[in-house]
Amino acid sequence: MGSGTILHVNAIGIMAAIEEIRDRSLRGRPFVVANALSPRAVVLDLSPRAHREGLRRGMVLPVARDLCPGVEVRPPRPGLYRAAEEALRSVGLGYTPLVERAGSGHLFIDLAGTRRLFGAPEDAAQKLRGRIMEETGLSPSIALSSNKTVSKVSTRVFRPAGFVALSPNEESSLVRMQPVGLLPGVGTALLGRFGLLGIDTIGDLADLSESEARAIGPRGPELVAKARGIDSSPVDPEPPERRAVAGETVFEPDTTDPEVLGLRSGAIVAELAFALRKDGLGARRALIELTYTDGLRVSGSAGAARILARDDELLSLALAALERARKRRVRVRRLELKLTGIESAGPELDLFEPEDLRLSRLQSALDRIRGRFGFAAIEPCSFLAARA
Amino acid sequence: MNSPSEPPPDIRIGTSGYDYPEWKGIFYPKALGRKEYLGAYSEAFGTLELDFPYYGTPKPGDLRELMARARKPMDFSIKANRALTHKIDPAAWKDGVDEFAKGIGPLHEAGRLCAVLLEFPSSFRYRDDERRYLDKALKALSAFPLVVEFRSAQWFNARVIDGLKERRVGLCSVDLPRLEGLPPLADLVTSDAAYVRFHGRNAAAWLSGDAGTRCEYLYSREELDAWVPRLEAMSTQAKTLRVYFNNHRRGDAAANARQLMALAAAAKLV
Repeated sequence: MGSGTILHVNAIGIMAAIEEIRDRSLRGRPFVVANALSPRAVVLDLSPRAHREGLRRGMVLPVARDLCPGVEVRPPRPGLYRAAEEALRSVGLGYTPLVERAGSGHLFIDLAGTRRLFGAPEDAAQKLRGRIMEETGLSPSIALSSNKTVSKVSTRVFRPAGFVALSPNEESSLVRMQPVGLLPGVGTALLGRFGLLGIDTIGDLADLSESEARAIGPRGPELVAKARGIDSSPVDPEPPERRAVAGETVFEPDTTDPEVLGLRSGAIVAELAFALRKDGLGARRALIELTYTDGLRVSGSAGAARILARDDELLSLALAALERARKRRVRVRRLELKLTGIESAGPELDLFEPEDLRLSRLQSALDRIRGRFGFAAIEPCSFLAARA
Repeated sequence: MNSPSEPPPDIRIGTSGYDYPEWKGIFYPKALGRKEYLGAYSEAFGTLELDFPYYGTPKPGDLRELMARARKPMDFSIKANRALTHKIDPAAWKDGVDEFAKGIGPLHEAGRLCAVLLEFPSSFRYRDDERRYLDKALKALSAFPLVVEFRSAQWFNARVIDGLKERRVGLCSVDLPRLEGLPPLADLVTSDAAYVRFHGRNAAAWLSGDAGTRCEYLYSREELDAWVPRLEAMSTQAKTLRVYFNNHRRGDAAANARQLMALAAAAKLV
């Protein structure tokens, strides 16, 4: 029985791990990474000891301090974390070009075809982890199986710093036994619904019929297939910034004000759209995920029939997505905006001069200024107000 | 988990059992008397997994004598009696725990007990009765550093792993033939004690069920070499790491233990 070739590298808690590596005196102590100077600072990452004390990511800092008096707070150092992420990816690329960045501290690596160079997938995976430890000091969990879903569930079980290699025969039985919350795509809201339905394990979800799967929601059938260990999505080496561009903002203090939410969305759209246009790209879809003060996440999306590139067009799309996500009268702590369906914007061929030519010219003028003097050189007054 | 004030992890490699007359002329000198085996063993390895307590409850005097026979400092892990793992009598197992605890007491008091290993057979599955029993047994033996070895893949789930972490019980990593139903290739440190057992990869003999030949296997250098990064990763999470070879036929266990020690030394692990 040989192992699958899809490796998931899970360096969860990468910020805290890097802080520990940089300052060995932190090891074994409760500490969090948070911007303590912010009035409603939230825990961005935390040490395993802080986790054992009951602290969680996204928790407001004063609450974390109440729960764990004396917890040390380290300011975030995004440059360091980005460098470590890049080092992880670079180690993966030493084994195969099929390396997919899958979020902070996560990589999928397809080791198919590397046997003659690096041995069996399980041996190659160990060597790769050894290199990661040498290069970054990080000790991630790693899992091998025949697909991304099974590998990801497995690193969530065998953590921290664990290892598991599954043959196709072993996958289904191992995945079925795990709590349903470990299945990618099952968040807090869905977990609550599953609890009411008596779905505790991934196996319970896998056993649902087609009609029951559809009753869960639009993504129900996809989730049930994943629960059965079926996932044919390939490891996609295309950088995620090409598949989707995303930006986020944390509201400090958190807010329910629709104007503030709209303005911040606009600021993100402007930045993302500018980056896309520089590469001659546009997007077809906007997705907004709101994280409410109580930790619940709700998302909404909106699509367009054609590729959109201008700020005003993409902002309309983003605002439509925001409207769909904003279903609760609870304060919002974080907003993440993702533009997907990215393709070449290309010059559109119209038979007649388009009515919105004036807007296109304005956009081009803004881009020229930003291209020469930087993105912050010119922006609407409303964005300045939103940041104040 | 390791902290800066703590010493580096204590990594030792040895074998499961030592009292094998068939090792004479292979590992032990031909002229060596059986009572001298442990002394000779202690000069080669810093740890030993005692498997005789599995067959019969040890007496305190037996273990005192064993400690005295070691010529060099070494520690011991003990395989728990089969009455606690393979032949569990719901009415009598608690008495067995008391007797077992009394027997290994001298080793524990001398600070030379590394771990008590509870090796459960493949018939010990993830079912309500077994889960309840495991909880009770771990509580009953909680005075000792504990490690569990499962032979059924069903136990490799997040609930069990969290439970072991909460109870500070180690999960034994095993090197076995890759057969359906057996545990997957997996390492996870769930307590301060990381523990690895090598049973050989003789799939045909494993299936035939012959206990004598089941572990008949000599690991190749490449197979052992692949374990070095695994041991390294485990050592970053544990205070102690113990590795035991159970492929004792023809002295293979001792030969492989020495080979792995050399590989670990080359990687600056020991």
